[in-house]
Amino acid sequence: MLTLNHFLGLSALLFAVGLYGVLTRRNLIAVLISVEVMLNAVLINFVAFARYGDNVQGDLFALFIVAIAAAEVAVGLAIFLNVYKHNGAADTDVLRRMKQ
Amino acid sequence: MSPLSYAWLIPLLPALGFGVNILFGYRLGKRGGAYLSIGLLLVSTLLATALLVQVYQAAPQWDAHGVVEVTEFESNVVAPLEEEVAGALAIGASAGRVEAARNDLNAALDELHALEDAALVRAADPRFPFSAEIDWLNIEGEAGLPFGFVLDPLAALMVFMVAFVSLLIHLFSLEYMAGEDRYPTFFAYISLFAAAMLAMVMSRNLFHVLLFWELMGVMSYLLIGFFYKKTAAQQAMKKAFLVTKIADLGLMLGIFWIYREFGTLDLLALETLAPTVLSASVATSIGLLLFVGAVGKSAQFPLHVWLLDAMEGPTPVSAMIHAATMVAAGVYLVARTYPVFEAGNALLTVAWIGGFTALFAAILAPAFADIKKILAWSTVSQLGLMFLGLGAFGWTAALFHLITHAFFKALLFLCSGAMIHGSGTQDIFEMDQLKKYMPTTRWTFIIGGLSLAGVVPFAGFWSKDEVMLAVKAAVSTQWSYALLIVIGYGASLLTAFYVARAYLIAFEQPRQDSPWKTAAWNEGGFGELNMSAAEVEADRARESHHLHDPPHEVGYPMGTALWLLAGGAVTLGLVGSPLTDFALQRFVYLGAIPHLEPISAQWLGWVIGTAVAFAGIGLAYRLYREDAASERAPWPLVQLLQKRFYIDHLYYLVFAKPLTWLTRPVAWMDRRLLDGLVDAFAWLVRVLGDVLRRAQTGRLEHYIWTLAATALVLVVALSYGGLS
Repeated sequence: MLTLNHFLGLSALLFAVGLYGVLTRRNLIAVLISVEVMLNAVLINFVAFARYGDNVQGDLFALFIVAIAAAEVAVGLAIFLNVYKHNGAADTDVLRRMKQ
Repeated sequence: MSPLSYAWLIPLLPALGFGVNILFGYRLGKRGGAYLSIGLLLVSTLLATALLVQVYQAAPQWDAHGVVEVTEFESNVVAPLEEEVAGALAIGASAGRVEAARNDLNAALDELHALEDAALVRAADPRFPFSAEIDWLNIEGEAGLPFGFVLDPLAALMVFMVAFVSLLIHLFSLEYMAGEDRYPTFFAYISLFAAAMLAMVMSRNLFHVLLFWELMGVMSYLLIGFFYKKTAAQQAMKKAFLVTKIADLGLMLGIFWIYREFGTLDLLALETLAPTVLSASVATSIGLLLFVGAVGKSAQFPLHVWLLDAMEGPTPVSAMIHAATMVAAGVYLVARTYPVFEAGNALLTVAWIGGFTALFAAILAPAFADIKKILAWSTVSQLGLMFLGLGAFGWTAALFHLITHAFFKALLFLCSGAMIHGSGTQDIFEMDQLKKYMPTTRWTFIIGGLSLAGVVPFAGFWSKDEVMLAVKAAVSTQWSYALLIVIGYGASLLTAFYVARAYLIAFEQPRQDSPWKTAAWNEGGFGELNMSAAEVEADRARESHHLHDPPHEVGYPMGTALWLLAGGAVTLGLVGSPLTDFALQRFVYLGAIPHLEPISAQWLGWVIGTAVAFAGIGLAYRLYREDAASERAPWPLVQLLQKRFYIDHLYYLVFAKPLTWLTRPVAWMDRRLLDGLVDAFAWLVRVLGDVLRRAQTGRLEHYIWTLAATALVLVVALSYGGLS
């Protein structure tokens, strides 16, 4: 029998994996994927609470997150593409130079 | 149509010219802004003409013959009877004799009133004098300071004079200033200058008189320093501003005091309130305070020192300051607040300051070689005559002289501008027989000069004679006026002398080395005292001192302005002469009825005035007809005059120097203490910024780690502390 705790556990695991990816990966694409993983972890949280809490707000939020994540990916990829075009590489060290 | 419906436009239009020129002047092409200014002022002048005509039509009309009869009757019949009554009371005569004398007097007064009624051709328009006001600054429980206009004969005449003369000066500047980079700025300033004067003479409230008076002070400051790269001009602008500001303190105190006494600053109320509310001593004090303001603005002794240095400004500015605006404001102020002066005993001081200044300046003028400075002294002297007239109860005479002086002095200044423009020098000795090359300038200068000298029938003759007539009439009230007659004629003699000298040397004689080569450049002013040798040298280098060989005549704009002003200088005196039955005196007067002396009392003055003028001219002709290189006056005397009796030096030593010392510690405080404090704050911010800046590494990982760590701390803190 699946309980709320199983879903929360999965969500926490995914979030940790995503955070680990964001913290360790240099490649911007990989960082973006990790961010997506974290987003989806949160999404699972919402859906689970909606299912077990008997309301629809969680589902609605999940839909929002899906839409906004899509938009975010589009913008993020466009930026990375430009960074790549400009510098011939797309990792976090390149972005550092933007400070100067 | 009431003139009030358009009068407000008269000062507003030149002010608009200022606004456009200062904001967009440099985008309107080389001369666009100037044409706009002139156009707007032309409209103002037309409106001012309409205003003058309408006010003249609305004013009461008097029969000249009848007015003379009234005057004669008053002095021949009424005055002796009044004395008789007073005498009878003084010696304690019997009641019957006093009663009889009183009856005689009453009968005479009745007859006088009958005569007055007969002299009145047409009564005043019921709306006369036109005035209006709107709420401007309200003070709880008091009259406050409403903004308003009063359009009486005095205002109408001044408005017309200021607008017309300013217009011609604008026209002259069109050509004269053509080479300047800051052409639109010049027109902006000079337009606002005219606007301020126009607004001032129309103002109904003393506070607004002060407001526009100060605005003129600012504009004169900016215009005198128009060539701001010259150190001498910087010094001159500061000097003019400071000296007039010291005087304005007196004016402000006077105005405050008036408000305290009357509870209002309404000029129309002044006429009725002054004789009833003020005690003689208070009226005297207020009058003297107001007069201090006038002394500064009109450059009277002992605050005359700024006017000579003000010659550093462009010549049209000098014409503006000396004729249409600024110095005329002082005379106007005293004329406007005359009821206060009449209620007290300040007028004798006014007369003596005026008379003394008239003579003093006329003595100095012949020692100068700079044409503009000669004319500047002439202005000081002529303004002295106006104050002499005011001080001798010759209200109408002083204003008459103010108007004619505005025309012939503007003419002379513009002529001097033409001479400088054509010959390239301000030194009359360096001018090379200008009569050969500059006929327009020559003839207009002669007209202006004769008018200034007071030669019949030019404008200056009639007005100067009116002033002297007033002084003569005043002798009966105070014996010392007799001395002032002598002083006045002495000043007139010297006036004719120095203007003829300037003409002969500049126009008739070939170029020669100036006998005071070094002195002519900067004759003994504050600048000389306060400038280092290097600064003097830099100024001299900056001055484009190219002598034009041969000199050239003026162009059409300048020529037109000259001839129009010359027309005024010839004909304007006639409005106050027997030829028009003294139209001006019957129009602008103080009190209920104009005051006209019969011709029989006037002709002697005409004869003396003419004789004095010709004596002065003759003397100059004898001395300077052939050669002028060796000025015959002994050198120490010339030196004394050129240093202006060392009055500037005295002021410099007594006021300017100690002040500089006094301000040194203050300057140190400002530079070290206050600036140091500000600098300390800047330093603190910079150090803090340096520290915090380190956190911004630009590495994405650092930011994320920070984020994650913060989130962790938050989670831990929240779970231990609960959510409260």
